Amino acid sequence: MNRGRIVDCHTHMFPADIPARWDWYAARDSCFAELTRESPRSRVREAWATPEEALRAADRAGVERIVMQGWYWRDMDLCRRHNDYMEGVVRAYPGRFAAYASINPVFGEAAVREVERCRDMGFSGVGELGPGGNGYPLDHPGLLEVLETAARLCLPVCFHVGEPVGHAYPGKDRTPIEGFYDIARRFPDLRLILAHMGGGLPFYELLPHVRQAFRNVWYDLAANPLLYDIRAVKAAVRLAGPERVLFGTDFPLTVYPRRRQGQDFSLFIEDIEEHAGLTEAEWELVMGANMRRLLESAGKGQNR
Amino acid sequence: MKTDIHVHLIPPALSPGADVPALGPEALETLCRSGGAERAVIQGWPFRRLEDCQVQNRAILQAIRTRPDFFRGFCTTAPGAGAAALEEAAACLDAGCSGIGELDPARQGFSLEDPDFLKLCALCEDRGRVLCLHTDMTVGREGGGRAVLPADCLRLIEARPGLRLLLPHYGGGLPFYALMPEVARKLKNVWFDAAPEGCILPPQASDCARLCLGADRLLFGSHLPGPVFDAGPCWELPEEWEGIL
Repeated sequence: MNRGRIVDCHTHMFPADIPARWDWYAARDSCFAELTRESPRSRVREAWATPEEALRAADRAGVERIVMQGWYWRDMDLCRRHNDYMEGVVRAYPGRFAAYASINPVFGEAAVREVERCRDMGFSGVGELGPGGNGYPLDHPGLLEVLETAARLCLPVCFHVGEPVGHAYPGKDRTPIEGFYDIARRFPDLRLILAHMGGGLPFYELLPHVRQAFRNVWYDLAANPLLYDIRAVKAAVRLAGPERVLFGTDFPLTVYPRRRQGQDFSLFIEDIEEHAGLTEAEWELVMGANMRRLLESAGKGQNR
Repeated sequence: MKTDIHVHLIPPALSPGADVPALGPEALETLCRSGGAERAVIQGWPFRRLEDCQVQNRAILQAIRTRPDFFRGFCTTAPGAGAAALEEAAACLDAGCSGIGELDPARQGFSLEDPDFLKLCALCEDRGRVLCLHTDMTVGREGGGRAVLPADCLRLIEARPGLRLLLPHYGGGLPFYALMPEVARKLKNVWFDAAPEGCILPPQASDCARLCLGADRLLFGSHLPGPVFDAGPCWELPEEWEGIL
């Protein structure tokens, strides 16, 4: 398979003072605390990586481009700070990083303004949004405003999606997945990226009317090894088609905790290469070409 | 043996209450054989009234008695009828039915926590029989009533690991979650059928479901003589099911 052209559509990078002053941030944002707390009972943990460390790991694994998803902070000021940080990373390493905007749609007009500011700074999308973590339903008026704005600006929106069944884990989003079908029908031109394989939504694309509604929906593979058997990659490709599945890791989250801790892209890539059964053409699309296409067209919509 | 696990035989008097046309056993067998089936299992229709279920069951028992080389049958019952529903199901199992179903909580107005429904589960467990339970699609479903979704079914499976379940119509999407190892471990007594219905599933559905589940968990079902969108050729029933039928 062609290594070296891989795009990871789903990573998280934080300003250096966030891990350094974790207690302070955790006290301000319980969702952040839940997701990033180191637990002696769980081997899964949120690792931290600087851009330089991320690039070293990416170079080892053949990852050409790293897409930083924002964080679903409850506080809009933290969202703005995080976005400023990511903008600096994108500027410091041309061609290696791209950024999606942190926002909390509950803030309505302020969130919309932040989406527009991020677009002007060259961001490539909006997200990762966490409806469960931020406590809003998928028909929240603030969210609908944000989605309308994103559709107008041609910015894809990435949602954190949880499965309606299976084991509990920190940050599992209990938002009913049916709501994404409603969003897709309400905003047919909006490009949606449903993280973590869309909580199982690819299966419902076997229904022709669902498939039609989801023609602008992509599924990412972030954290997949913590959730599914590796056969799930092929299943998603069969169900949604290879054009709408995106490689992502949730880096620097440890997704093979029994094998390696932190700062690694390569284990998941190797697992896909050796065990997912993708054809060469499917590999090209899933591991890079699909996300490159989304990055190229991002932000080319209309201003108000 | 190539077996169609999901066909319906609706007596003419009950036809207006079902979504599939009335067809006699002979015509139904001809139709099934034209799709490659060497044997077919008649699923009872989930009528809301016990009286209708009883008429349906008499027709099923008659068919399996007169055409024993081709037909097997499940019996239907109306859980809302309480003790009489249980009595009807037990009598049908005694008379030769292989399982209970197809039951449909949305159509028949019961929940998976309903004590009368749980007694039917216990009956199946005691007799080593299968319960066929209609499951709705989490996304994109049609029709009204309170849907029973894969997550609801999984709660039932967790509560009753010894219950043998057949979840028709791709189990409402549950097969996908068999890719989660902890879910797969819970599905040892659960099978799915590939019977299409209302919002039709295209033929690649069975390939995808097998990829998720493994080959022996997906049974062929046509939903004949209902509206069928390319159910495809019938396939062999897993060996394990020969003892069940």
